[in-house]
This record gives sequence, C-alpha cells and structure tokens, in this order.
Amino acid sequence: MRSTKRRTAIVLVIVVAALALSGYWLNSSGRLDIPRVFAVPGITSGSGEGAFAGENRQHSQGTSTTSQAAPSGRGRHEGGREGAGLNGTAALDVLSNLWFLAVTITVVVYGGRGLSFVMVQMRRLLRAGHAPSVLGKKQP
Amino acid sequence: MLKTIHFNKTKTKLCLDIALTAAYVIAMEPRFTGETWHEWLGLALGGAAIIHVLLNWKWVLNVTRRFFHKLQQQVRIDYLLDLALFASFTVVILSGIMISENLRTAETLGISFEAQRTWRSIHAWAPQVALVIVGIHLGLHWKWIADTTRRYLPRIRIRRPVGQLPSSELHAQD
Repeated sequence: MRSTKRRTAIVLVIVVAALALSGYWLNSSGRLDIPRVFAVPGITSGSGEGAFAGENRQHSQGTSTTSQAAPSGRGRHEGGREGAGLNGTAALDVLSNLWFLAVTITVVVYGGRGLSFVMVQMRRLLRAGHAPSVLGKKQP
Repeated sequence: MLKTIHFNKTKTKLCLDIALTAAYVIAMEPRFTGETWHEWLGLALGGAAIIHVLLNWKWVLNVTRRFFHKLQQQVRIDYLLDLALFASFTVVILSGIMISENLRTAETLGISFEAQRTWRSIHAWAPQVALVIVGIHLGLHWKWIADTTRRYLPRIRIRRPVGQLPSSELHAQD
C-alpha cells in the first residue's frame, strides 16, 4: 500500500515535470497555442485572434462581393494549401496538440484520483462523527 | 483449407483507439498533412469512430436501456461525455465536408459565400472543443488503456544478479 502510494507520487512528479519541460520548450518555440481553445471566434462575426488570422484578414478586405471565388481566409487551414509537407513548424503544432491532450488526460486522471481520495476521507470523517464517542461517554 | 482467424476484440479496440487519437491530433493540423490528406484523413477518422462505437455497441445499448434506472453515476457521466464527443465529431466532420475542396460540396450544393464562412468558422473551433472532450474521454478510460497496453506490450525483463530475489518475493518472505 505504502509502496503503491510512493510509486503513484513518483509517477505524478515525473509526468508533471515532463509536461512542464515540454510545455516550456513548446512555448519558447512559439507554437504552444492554448488560448485558441478559448478564443473561439464568433460564428457570424468571424472575430478571433492568432489561429484565425486569415479569417480576420478576409474580413478587413471586405466580403460584400459575392463574385469572389472560394473564400480565402481560413487561418489554420490557409497554410495547408500553400505549404503542405512535413515542415518543422507544423510538426511543432502537432506536438502542441499532443501536449494539450496529455495535460487534459493528466488533469482528469490525477484530478479524479484526488477527488476520490477526498471523498473517502470525507466519508470517513462523517462516519467518525456519527459513531458514538468513547471520550464523550459518561463514566459510571 | 481455411485458416481460422482469431479476432481479439480488446487488442483491436486498443489499436484502433491509439490510431484514432494519433490520426486526430495529426489531422488537426492541415499545414502538417496538406489539404488533401487532411480531408481524407478526416473522413477516415469518421469511419474509424463509427467502428469504435460499433465495437462498444453492447455497452451503448445496455447503458441506453438503463440510463433512467439504477445505474452508477460514473457510467452515466461516461455516457453523457461520449454523447458530447459523438456530437462534436459529427459537427467537425459535417463542417469539414461542407467546406471540402476535394469534394467540392459548396459548389455542388450551391452553398452561399456567407454560409461557407459560417461553416469555416465552425470547422475552426469545433475540433478544439472535440480535443478537450477527447482528452477527458481518454482520461476517464485511462485505467483500461494503461492496463491493456501493459498486457499486450512485450514484457521487459530486468536481469538481476544471480542470487538476488525480486522485491515482491522479499516482501513475501517478511
């Protein structure tokens, strides 16, 4: 039991350290694009930042003409047409996605374990509170 | 002479899940794959996701039947999350099909420029939402993934010096 706890703690430390180091490295390379998840552009307004730069550019150019061919502003999709292939920056983007996935999994796994631990402790405390106290008993 | 093919469902599920996750993370970056591969990979992902659901169909049916009856809270959360994942995947693939340049859906269906822009916008944020749900889904099933991977990975045997017992046996002696 004790060794299992120690093992879990060691694994957690290794995982957090690996994620922190890789996150620092990806961030310094400028490819860790976490805010994109939260910077959701308005569906009709097309507002957004970073990943959706292409869309913004298209917006500023004016979109009133319907004779335009396929819309060009696609942000992350834009590069697909221009520079497809296994380039380093795109590989870092994939790693950034993988990093984000790893962080989510870690939070869920260890968050869940922590939550169940807290629940067990709470239940134990509650049970102890309901149990008849030996100290509170009147001595005959 | 027909050779019997043994179908290991658990192993198939594990391999499919790993492939699905890897393909999804890669498909999220069209600059990495190129537009054509991105589109075909996306369609293949849709097919693989359906196979994933079919492989777990028994569980889906059981939980659907008992959802409003006596059921563990964890299973209920799993089910709702899986529904959200299915919905987000559907949105991702549908919006992808709508703006596909290889399939030329917009031209075929006569989708207006404004509508196309809306589909593009949806296709930009839906995969990000799906990635978060995929992460939670994998996290909730992590025990199964870790245990199954451990079961099928070739075991690495650590050579011990002659006469030294493994730690489990040392504990057993206590």
